[in-house]
Amino acid sequence: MKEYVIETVNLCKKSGEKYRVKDLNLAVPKGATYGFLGPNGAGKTTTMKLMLGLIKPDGGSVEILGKVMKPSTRFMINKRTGSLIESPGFYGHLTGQENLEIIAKYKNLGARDVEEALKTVNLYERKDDKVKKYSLGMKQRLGIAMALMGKPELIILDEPTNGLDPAGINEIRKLIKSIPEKFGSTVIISSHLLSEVEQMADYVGIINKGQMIYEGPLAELERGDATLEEVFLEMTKEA
Amino acid sequence: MNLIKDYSIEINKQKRRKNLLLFIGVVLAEMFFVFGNYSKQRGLEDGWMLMFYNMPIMNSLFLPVVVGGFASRLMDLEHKGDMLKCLYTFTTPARLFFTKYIYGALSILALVVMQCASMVLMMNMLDFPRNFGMTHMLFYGMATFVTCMTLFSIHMILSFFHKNQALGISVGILGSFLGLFSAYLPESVFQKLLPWGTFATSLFIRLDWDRETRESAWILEKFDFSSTLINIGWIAILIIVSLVMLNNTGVEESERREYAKHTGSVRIHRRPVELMKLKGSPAWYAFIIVPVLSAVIGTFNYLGNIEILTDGWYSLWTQHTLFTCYFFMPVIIGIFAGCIWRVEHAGTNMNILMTHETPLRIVLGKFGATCAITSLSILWIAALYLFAGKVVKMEGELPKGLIGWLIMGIVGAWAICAFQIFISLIIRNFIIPVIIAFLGGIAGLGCMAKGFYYLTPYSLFDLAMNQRDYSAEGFCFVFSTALCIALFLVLSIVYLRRHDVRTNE
Repeated sequence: MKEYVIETVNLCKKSGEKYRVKDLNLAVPKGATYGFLGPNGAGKTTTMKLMLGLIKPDGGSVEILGKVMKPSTRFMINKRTGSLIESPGFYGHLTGQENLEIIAKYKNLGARDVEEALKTVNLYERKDDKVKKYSLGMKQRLGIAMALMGKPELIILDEPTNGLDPAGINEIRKLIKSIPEKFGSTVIISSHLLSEVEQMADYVGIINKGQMIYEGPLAELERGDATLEEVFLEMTKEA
Repeated sequence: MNLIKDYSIEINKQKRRKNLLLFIGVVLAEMFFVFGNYSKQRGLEDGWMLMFYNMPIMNSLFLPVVVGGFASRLMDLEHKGDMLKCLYTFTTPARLFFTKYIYGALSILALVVMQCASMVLMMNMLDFPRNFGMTHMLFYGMATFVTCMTLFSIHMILSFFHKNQALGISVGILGSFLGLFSAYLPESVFQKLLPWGTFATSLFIRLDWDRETRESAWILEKFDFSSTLINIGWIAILIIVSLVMLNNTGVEESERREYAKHTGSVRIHRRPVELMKLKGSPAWYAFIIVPVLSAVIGTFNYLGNIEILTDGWYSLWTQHTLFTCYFFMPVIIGIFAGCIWRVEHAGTNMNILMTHETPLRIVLGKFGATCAITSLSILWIAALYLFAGKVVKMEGELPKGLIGWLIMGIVGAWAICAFQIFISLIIRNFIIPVIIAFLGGIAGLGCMAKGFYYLTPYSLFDLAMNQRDYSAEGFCFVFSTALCIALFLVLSIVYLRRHDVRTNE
């Protein structure tokens, strides 16, 4: 019996009459690097927000780290997670270091964790600059640093390589690959690029129009003659 | 043709912004005030004069803020979405500016028409005979429109060229205060030169109040066009200034790139998180500067009216706290609460906040920070009061209840803090909660006058500071204040718990 870190049961979220996520059943095995794939607007971010309890489901439930997500358990669960959802959040008038200090205070961490986080994402040299002066890629790194701080059991990263240059993408990719080994955490990364997920994940979920269309080990998806990109396009094409 | 096209684009942009609602709100508020004050004088023969006297006075109080808020809303949507860098590639700054200007002018015209209509409606409701000439209404409408347009021209410059909309609303609030204050000074050219004062200088009704008999009479005077002409001059100057500034504008990088000095090691700041997030925010200074302003005005007011104000130290206290209670304190608390939430409403920061902290602790943190600075500010007011008393060589003893008023005042101010924390949480816009605070301060004054001391957080604060020598009943005060604080904190927590986190709006 596999152990799952996150399980959703018939998860639904509507905006108005339209479903953004519909009857989604998703299961993330413990210790996996789970690639969450889907075209733009498929419901990836919505699902991730539901996982963290940032928005409330209109149906179904989320079980995460062994607990059911609801307003009363949200904080206890989130304390054990690290996340970067949508674009990175930051306090622009503060320096990079000060931003991480705020997170450190919330998580009861110390100066060493701040320093380590800055070095991990290569922002140490720019730690005393205001974040509003950071480039898009640097803000993205800061967001990743916030998610990694404190070595949480579960790390959720929404399109982590957005806005990074090729060298940066490579660097972050290596970093994410090393997380399960270094921290022992489970990682979920969303992306609309299969080629990207392919290099980091060992388990994938593919979502389109709010519904899960494939979930399983990456290796199983790779069977047959078609390339992965073709499989992905075939699965997510307009029905 | 271009003009019509631009104008229709502007209307599309303002879709769903409910801009006119602000104007409808102010017209209703003014009607409410008139009705509340004069409903007992039904059928008054000179009722129409009363109307034409009261409306401009109320306008000098309300309209500077409302026009400022309106101008800010027109521009804020461009700043927020960082649209200017895109817009300047297919239109010129000047075209953009003047399209908004025309949109604003037409909206203000609608405001004036609504207000004139509301006056006729109120005269009907109060059975005032409508024996005034059409010229009176036309003159009133024209003067109001021109004054509003002068203020609008000032605010368009402030809001267009400044990304930070706190500047505009601060000028509006200060202007409203100046306008009302100048209405009670002896009339002079200075007032006519002050655009905020010209609602009152265009009055063609004079109030003749006999101090002995306590009777008032309304006297009809000739129309005075000078204020309007001066205002038209102002508008011309402001348009020229705008044109010059527009000529030199472009999309520049919001901040110069300068690199901070690199520090060697990482050391954690001691400051609490909420205070850290407001590092360098101008909201702090308001709590220090505004009481000084209030104290200076209060002291001069005291010295100017020394023959009526015979209660020594207590009279000085009333003058010092007059503007603080009804005007300044609610507004600066409103601005501070706005700032403390704005850092979270920006971008996706709400995601960070909500994944790291419980709603209870978020709300208590914000509330605590606001209360702390407010309490310090009230102590600062007390210090300034004692200092001013020494400077004017006040004799006699300090009011007995002073310490009690201060303690109750601090607790009463916390009620305002709780309310504003809630309002700024649910309204993600910065300007509207500040306007609510401003109106709240005035509503507090109204509640005090009508005896509903315990009804609003603002009147609780006024009551506590013993501004008018109403002694608060200890139990009622503590009960209402505690209830008010608890209510709005619980509402904030429930809101954070129940509602979906909203980002990037």
